Amino acid sequence: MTAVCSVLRIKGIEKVYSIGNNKVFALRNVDFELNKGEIVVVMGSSGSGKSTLLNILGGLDAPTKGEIFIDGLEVKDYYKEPYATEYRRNNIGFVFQSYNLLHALTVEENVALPLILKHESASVIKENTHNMLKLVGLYERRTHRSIELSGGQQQRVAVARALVTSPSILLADEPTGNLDSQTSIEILELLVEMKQKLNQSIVLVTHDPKVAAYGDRVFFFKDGRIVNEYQAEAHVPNIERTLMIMNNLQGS
Amino acid sequence: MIISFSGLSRKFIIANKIRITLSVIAVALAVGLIVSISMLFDNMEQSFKNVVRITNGETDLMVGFNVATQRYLNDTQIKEIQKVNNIEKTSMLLINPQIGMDQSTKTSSLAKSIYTIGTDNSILAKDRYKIDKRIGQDEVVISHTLAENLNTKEFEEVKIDLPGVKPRVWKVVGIIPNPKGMVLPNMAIFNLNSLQKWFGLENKINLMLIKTMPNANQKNMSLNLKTIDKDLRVDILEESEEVQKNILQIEVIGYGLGFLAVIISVLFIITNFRLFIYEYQRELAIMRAIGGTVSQSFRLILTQNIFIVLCGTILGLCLAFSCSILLSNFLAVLFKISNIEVQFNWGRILLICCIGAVSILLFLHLPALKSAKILPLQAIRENEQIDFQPNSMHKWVSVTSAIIGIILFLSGRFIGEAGIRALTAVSGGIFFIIGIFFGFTYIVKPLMIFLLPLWELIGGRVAFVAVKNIINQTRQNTLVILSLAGAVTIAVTGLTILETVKTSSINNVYKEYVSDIILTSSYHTASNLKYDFKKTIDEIDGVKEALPMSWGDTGKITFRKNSNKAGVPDRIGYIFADLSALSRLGFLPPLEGETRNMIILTKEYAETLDLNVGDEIKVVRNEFGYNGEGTTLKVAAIVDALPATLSSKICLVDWDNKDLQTKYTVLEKVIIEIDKSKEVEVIKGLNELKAQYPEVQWKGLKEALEELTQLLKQRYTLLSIAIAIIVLISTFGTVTTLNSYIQAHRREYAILRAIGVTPRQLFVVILTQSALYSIIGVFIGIIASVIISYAIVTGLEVKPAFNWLMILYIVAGIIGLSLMLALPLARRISKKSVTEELISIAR
Repeated sequence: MTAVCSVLRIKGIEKVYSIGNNKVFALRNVDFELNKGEIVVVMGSSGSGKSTLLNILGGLDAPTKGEIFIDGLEVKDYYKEPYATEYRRNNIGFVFQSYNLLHALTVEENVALPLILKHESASVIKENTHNMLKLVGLYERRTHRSIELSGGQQQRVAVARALVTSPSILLADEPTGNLDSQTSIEILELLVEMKQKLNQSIVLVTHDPKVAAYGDRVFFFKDGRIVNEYQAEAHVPNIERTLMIMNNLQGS
Repeated sequence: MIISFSGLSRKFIIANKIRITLSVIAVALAVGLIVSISMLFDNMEQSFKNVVRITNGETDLMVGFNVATQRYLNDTQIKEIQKVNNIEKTSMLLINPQIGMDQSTKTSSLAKSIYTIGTDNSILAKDRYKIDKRIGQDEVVISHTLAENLNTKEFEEVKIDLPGVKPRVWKVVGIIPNPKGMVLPNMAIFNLNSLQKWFGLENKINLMLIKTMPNANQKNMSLNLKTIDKDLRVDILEESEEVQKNILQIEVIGYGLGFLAVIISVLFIITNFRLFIYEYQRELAIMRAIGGTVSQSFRLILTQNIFIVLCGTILGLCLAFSCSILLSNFLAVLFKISNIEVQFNWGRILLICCIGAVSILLFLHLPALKSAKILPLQAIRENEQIDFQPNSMHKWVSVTSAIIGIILFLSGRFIGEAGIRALTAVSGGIFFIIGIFFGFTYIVKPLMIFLLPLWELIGGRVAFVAVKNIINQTRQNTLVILSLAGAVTIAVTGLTILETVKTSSINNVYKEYVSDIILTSSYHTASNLKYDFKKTIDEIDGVKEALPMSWGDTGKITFRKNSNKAGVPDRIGYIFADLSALSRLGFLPPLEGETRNMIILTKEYAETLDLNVGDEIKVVRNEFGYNGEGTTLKVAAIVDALPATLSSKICLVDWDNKDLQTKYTVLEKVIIEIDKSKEVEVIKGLNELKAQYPEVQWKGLKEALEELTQLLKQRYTLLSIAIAIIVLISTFGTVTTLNSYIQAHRREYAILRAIGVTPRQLFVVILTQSALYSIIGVFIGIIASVIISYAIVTGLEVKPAFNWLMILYIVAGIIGLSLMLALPLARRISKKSVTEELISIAR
């Protein structure tokens, strides 16, 4: 039996937006842990606070209150420059709903970009990029420009780019939101494969129970709070999981 | 595959080639415009200064006594002059020693007209009088005119007769040719010692030429020199009124157009670069999200900006260089003028380029730096905001600039010296334009809403959609329209200035050539033609009237009746004229009674002397040794301008007023009215007269205008080149701006296609938007150019002349070219696959 090791722990996270004299609570006292090699899914309807949580985890937005621990150590001011960039570069990989690839670059250049920004040596850049492209099945198309690929292929490139620096945590914001159902399955299976092969920890935000079914644990968000949690059993098939998640969703 | 950060920068440049190219072109046009204007105006100013150099040689100051006073500089005075600070070298001269000598009737007219110089053979003197050899004891150098009148050639011996001395034989060692377009007077230049001996004036000089140190304050030196003796006369050669006026004109035009060039350059760059940085923010945001630091974003932008500015500056320099060379040659051929040499002051040009490049770089970098600093999420959010709200600073700048502009413009009209007034007026105009441009943000939306129904009426539903679609894009609309307006402003202003210079020169010719023929003397003030010469002309068959006018003379006002204002000058300048005849022929208002004691003034001069119609003054003529009581003059009329006279600081008195005339009162010109049917006879008669009086020359209005046209072509070719470049670059700027605009909206066009707009309709949409921008831009540009032209020409103290036909051509050219560019681009974009466009430009 593998020992459970916490990669990420958040404690008492709050996010308040002030609009005039009014205060809007996007997140209220959120706590949870993400373990090594685990997929945690954050579910909720629009405006429930799930994307805000992801942005705060990625250092893209600042929390009003709360603490974050990476590998058991608290990280302070991780959302302030220049720490934010360092924090993202060392710990976080991002996958967006709209892929956000740079069209000026080829597939392999897009994947290599985080390594270039990290000033890695040419040999490391080449080796890691090619390995990652082989892993996501796009090595043969490495010299194509990103706009020449299908949506699913572009999202694969985005996954490869997010994981090429071996980050502790992969944050995926509605990664299948722009894809058809078949392609969505392919991307989700790719994420599961990455989890297994690389022991990757993943936080995935979605509103789709079928997508959430790929998670090991599911947190249900409502009005900025975690209102429910679902722990998936390894042997339960995806269809069953989906139904149970839907039930939990109705219940919360 | 790129594996380095610099490779990444390179890749971005290659991948964004259209955007980069447009930005490079914008920078090139801006640099080209500023360099061309600076270079050409520098050349113009230098060419005017060169004319002074050619005329005066290296001499900067002349100091001496008036020859009529027969005073000479003594050794102490010479030493004191030489001791004055900032004098590099001096030269000793004896000028016209015959003046004041016995002018007996035995002496010939020619002898009396000779301008005599004794020179110490110094470089300064040789340079001033264009002598290329040393003049020995018995030698003389004479002007071409004198050589003709004495019927002699170089190396021949000639007997020269001067008043007050015995005639002597001299060897002609040089003949000074007439400069182009000028006739030199009868001039004889001798060795200083020889001339002194001939006149018995050993060791005596009455004039010194001075070359000052570079950057010396000549005005201060002049004041210092005058303290040596109160009668010393000091002339600063560069400060002749005409040269000063011309240089001031060029400076005013140069500053005005220069400022406009900077404004339009900024607009070109903002408009084109805005698109670049706007698109680029998305890329920066992604890079920041995946681990790029602020400094990496900064470096990436810096690399690209340096590339853009470097390429743009080099291209701009080439553009300015080739435009000037090519256009100079083209205009030289077109106007049949030789020797247009555009000098490139490379040091200065490179300095301008460097300052320009660094300024543009900083200018480009500020918004980019802001983008680099913000959090990735904010960058993406901001990028989604298409519209912007005009902020209070714009309003503040707009109102303040307009108010400052009006104040400066008005003070430019009334307060200070001419030079200061001109610059104040120009600054006023520029501030006002800045006010309009900043304030435009507030009117662009209502203006477009106002034009919407009209546009729908002309172009139908598609045109309506096209305009409706852009109404809310205030920032883009403002920038594109102002960019176009700036181009039109600078082109029309340039053209108006050229037209104004031309028209005011032609008006001067019309003012001077009021009759069919004007007769003058090539001997100028040394002319032998007196009032009686009128009778000789009257005898010519076909001459209806001959009206002689004298050279200007001066007198002192010793008494005033009805006017006692303090500080009014007591010197008065006058010309003798036939007042009753001028009045009878309509050149002056009707004059009643005896004209002998009448005086006619211009409004300006009447104000200066504080005189009104009916006022009486007593004037004593200004003649050495004259002790008479003078004569009483009564102001008979005050007119706008005196006939055939350009100066407004002079008045007319009657030939019958003998009290004011001296023995030196000679004719400057004779206004001749002829019987048109007998023109041939008159010309024949005048030709016969010339055989008898070699100094006589005449011109009609036609000849004067032809001569002026030639002079204008020569003098203002550089201005024409500058304006041609401005028009050319402005038009290209307009075209580039519209191109940028269309490129920036390809995604919108694709969306329009996707929701049912046919390729043909899209074609109409693009053309409609281009036409709308061009028309509003042209409209605003013309208003702005009228204001700035008024400001510039007010400074030049002339009325602006708008060549509306040419302006129409330019405007039609700019709109036509813009549409011509939009046409193929619109066709290409309308034919593109919708999905391809959406994907390739997808955010």
